[in-house]
Amino acid sequence: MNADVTGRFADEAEPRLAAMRAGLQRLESGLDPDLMAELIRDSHTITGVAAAAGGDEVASIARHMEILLQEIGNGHRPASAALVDTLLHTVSGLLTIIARLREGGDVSELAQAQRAALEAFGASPAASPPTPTGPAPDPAPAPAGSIRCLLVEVGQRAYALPLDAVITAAEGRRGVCVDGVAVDIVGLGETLDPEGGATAPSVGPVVVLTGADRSYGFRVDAVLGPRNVVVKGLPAVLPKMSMLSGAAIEVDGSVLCVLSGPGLVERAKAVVQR
Amino acid sequence: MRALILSVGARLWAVRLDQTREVMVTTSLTPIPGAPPSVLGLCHRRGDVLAVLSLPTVLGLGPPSAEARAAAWLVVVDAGQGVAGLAVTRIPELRELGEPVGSGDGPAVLSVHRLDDEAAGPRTVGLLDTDAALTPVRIGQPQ
Repeated sequence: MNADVTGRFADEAEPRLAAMRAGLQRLESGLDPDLMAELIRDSHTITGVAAAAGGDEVASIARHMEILLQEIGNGHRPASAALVDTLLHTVSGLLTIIARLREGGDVSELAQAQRAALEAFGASPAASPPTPTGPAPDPAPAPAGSIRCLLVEVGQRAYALPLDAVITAAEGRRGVCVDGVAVDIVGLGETLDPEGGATAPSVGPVVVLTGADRSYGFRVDAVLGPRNVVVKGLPAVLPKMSMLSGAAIEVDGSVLCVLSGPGLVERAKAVVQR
Repeated sequence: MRALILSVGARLWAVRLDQTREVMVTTSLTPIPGAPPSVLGLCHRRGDVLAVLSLPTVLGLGPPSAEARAAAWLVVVDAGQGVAGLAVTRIPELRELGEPVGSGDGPAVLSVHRLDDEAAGPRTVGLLDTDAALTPVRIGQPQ
């Protein structure tokens, strides 16, 4: 981008990002369809003006935000505290990137960090390319009951973790920090079955999940990757089980348990106290 | 009254035919983390998820035996809310139940009936009311 184009793009994008920041802060107190429409429109406009100005890094990040906001708007993804927080960080990150672009600096590292934070929530702009001009499109159709999950393996069994509760997944670390603070780590197997679950090894993949008031890292045997999962409700005959949010039927006819992030975090507190 | 006779090891129960939906071969069960002991797991039934239960455990007769865990058949029955699969260790028999020979021990087992069986000799079975027996509260009881 030359300096003139960058300046015009930045003049257009900065007030919209400021409006998005205010809107996301309001989102923390409840979902409002008009507010969602505004947020989607602003992110779509930033995607468009960035793409038109040749700012591919910004366009890609803004498009990623737009997809996540559409998913919140059409009810396919809850506006969890972790997601809203990440979107607020992304808005701040985009403002920093734009300020650096005005100065003619390199933004690739900053952009990479922003993309990585959004990718933890699964939606990828690669699957739906940005539209540089025109009005914000209708929310993309998604299979009913489908949510984006991170699949993990523990004790040779796969489990799905809804991505809205996942802060990050780290490979082969002894410890994990989130926002500069070390999180406690427990074994997912031990949490699911305190009597029989094997004690987790001290090194291996860790998935950090957020609950109502804190986060925990859960050590797993393997991270199998993100996937859309069509979640079915649990049979009505079952009593409430806090660690389980639903189940899905796999192509081979087996049943996949979809775990609850907040439920696991609550259980982890008890496991740590033992 | 026509009823299916359900066997779990040496124990027998009868379920009215109009409270049963089908008999299935047990496919792979997915255990549920944190589930009460009476819930053996989940399986797939025609695009839906079915809870599979150990009937003796629901009725407070102890934790599921290894035999119950390895049960080869499921009887899908009406439950208080929806349906549930009961793991059984033999193919259920369809029998005509005569007049009761005794009363049951509560809302779950309504009455006791005699089964005249040439091979095994006379036996008695408790007639189960699956709607009353299979409720989330009963299923959630710790053993």
